[in-house]
Amino acid sequence: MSLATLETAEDWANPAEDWSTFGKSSIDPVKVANNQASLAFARDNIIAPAVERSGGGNGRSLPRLTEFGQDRQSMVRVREWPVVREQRPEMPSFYALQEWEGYVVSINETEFTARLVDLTDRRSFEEEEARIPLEEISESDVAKMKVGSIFRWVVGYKRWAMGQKERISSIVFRDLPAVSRSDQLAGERWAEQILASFRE
Amino acid sequence: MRINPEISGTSIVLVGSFNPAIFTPAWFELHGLLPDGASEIAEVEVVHPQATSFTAEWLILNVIPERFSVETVQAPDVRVLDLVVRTFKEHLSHTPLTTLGINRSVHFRVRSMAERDRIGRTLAPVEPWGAWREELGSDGMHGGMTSLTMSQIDPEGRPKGGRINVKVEPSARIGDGRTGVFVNVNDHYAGDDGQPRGAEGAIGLLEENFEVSIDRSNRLIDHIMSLAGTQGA
Repeated sequence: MSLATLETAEDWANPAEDWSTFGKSSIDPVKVANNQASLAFARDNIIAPAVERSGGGNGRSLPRLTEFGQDRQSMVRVREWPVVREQRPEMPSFYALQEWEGYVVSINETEFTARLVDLTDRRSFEEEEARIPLEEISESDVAKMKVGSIFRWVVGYKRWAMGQKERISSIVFRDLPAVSRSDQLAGERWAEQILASFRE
Repeated sequence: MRINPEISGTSIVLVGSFNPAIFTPAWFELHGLLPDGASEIAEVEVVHPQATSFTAEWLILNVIPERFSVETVQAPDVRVLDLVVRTFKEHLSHTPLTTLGINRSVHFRVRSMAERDRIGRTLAPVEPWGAWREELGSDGMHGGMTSLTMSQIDPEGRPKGGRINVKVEPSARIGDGRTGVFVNVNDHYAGDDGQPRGAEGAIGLLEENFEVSIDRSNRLIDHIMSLAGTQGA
């Protein structure tokens, strides 16, 4: 089934399994999608788009992209995209009162030792050392952790939409990108420049 | 920050050319960008060639053909950086990108409507509005600032076309329309000439500027908080 053949609400409610023809047609898929969505979804299972809330509004009822931080549903209203009735549950917010970046210097059977940089205090070098029980981190992180692994340790408040608030501590190991060949070359160039500055 | 925000979010937005249908939770899991099992607990709103939207653990992801956005409201916010860098450096390095945004947004609560209004009236005084200012009242119940954006154009040290936009509004999500304040900082980086390029340039800019940008945004937000005269709400 191609985009051009999606004509009824049922077609759109049950998207095609084979999108192999997408992009090969001369039909503008964006235009087709907008037309079909506004026709089909409005009839069946879509609620009316919200009137814009923020300043500068003119009270029009057409959907628009509002500030995502202000309106969780704004993204799905882009270009008349329909809003499904079921609302996405509000994700709890976790605000860091204190945050450190650390790296692992040693690991034993029950704990690991790490050096920490206090990011909240805008430090740029490690001044603290901590011994952290392995039970503080997830099993998958324990399995992957090795000397040199970098993590963030955050203490703060987690708040839910209904108003509950909880003080928690969380350790998250960073998923850093692999060093690419171009990174390596850039590092070599930087090192050569530093060496050259000493020779001058 | 002098007031702990009730909602604190960080997002990275890339503008370019994307195929939304590939950005499924399973794709991220397959490439080790999200942990094992993330696709099972992800809440998918839509996955379609024209739009993808899902949440998974700390991640809120939205993609349309010309815009890729990841957001988190859960510290540490550096996770959005790591995810975007790995995605476009290790797997989608030829994606054409034109601009980049590093955004911070917070909703914080002040103690009273008068304190919220103090922020609005400091940033947008009513005196220049002539006789109408009398109609706006002084209690915040009859009018005042609903949205204000202040922009810095072409900040130094980045390609031409960059902007820093700071928006202040009453919060639509906390404070019952009375005591919540929303501040959004949009730190916008444009390509040198607005032409699409491979991801390398934009991702390099992101890596170099993310921490600096977040720190600058936090200072700006903290300053807005200071205008309320509230401490530790």
